[in-house]
Amino acid sequence: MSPLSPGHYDQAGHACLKLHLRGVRHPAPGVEFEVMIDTGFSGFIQIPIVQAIALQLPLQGTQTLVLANGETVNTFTALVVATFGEKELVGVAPLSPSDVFLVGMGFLRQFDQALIISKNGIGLMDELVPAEPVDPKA
Amino acid sequence: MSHVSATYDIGGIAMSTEQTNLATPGRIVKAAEAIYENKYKTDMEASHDGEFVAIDVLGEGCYLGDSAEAALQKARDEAPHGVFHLIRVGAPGAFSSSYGWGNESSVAWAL
Repeated sequence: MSPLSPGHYDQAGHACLKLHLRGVRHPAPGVEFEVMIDTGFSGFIQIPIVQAIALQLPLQGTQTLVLANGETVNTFTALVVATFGEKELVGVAPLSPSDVFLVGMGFLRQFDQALIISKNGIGLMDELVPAEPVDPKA
Repeated sequence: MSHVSATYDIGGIAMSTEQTNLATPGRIVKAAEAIYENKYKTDMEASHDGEFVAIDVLGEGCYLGDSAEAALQKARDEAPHGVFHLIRVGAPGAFSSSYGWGNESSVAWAL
C-alpha cells in the first residue's frame, strides 16, 4: 500500500478527504463521506446530528466545545467507527447542528497521518510506513 | 409548569424522572460540572492536567484516560449504564474547533 492517501479541495476550497463511518446499523466499512480537515479542531471527528441518527451511532453523553471566538457550546457525543485506508478506529464524535463533517488533529494523530497541503492538492501520509529510501545516484 | 414523576427501569437500574431530568446537553453538563467541581477537580488538576475524564452524572463516578476515547472506554466498562460528560482537565472544554457554527451554536441546544 502506498503511504500516501489522496485528499482534495472541495468547491469552496476546503481541504477534504473521504472516509467510511459506521455505527450499529451498517456493515463494515460503513458509509463513505466527504469530510473537511480542520486542524483547529482538537478532536477526532465532528458529525452532523442528523447523520449520527441515520448511522445509528451509540450516544455516550455530552462534552463542551470551545469555538474560535471563545464561545462554548454543549453537544451530545457518540462513538463512531471510522475506516481510513486500511485502518479502522473507534473515536468520540461531538454531534453538531451544522451539516458539515470535520476531522481534527485527534483523527490525524490516531490514524498516524501527516497532512501535506499544497496549492495543487492535499495528501495524507501514513507516518508508520517507512518512506522509500532515496537513491542519491538517481 | 406541571411535572409528572415516574419510575422506570434501565438495564436493571431503577430510575426516576427526577434523577434523569437530563434531557438536554446543557442539563447534563451542569450536573456533571457540579459533580466534578465538588468531588474531583482539585485532585485532577493537581496531577492530571491535559488528560480526559468522563463524569457519570447518574453514578457520580469519574473515569480518567489519556484520551477522550480511553476515558469513555474505561467509563463504559465500569459503569455500563452511565451517562457521561467528557472534560479535559484544566481546559474550558473537552475539544476546541476553529470552524464556525454561525447562529446554530447559540440557538440549537438552547432547550
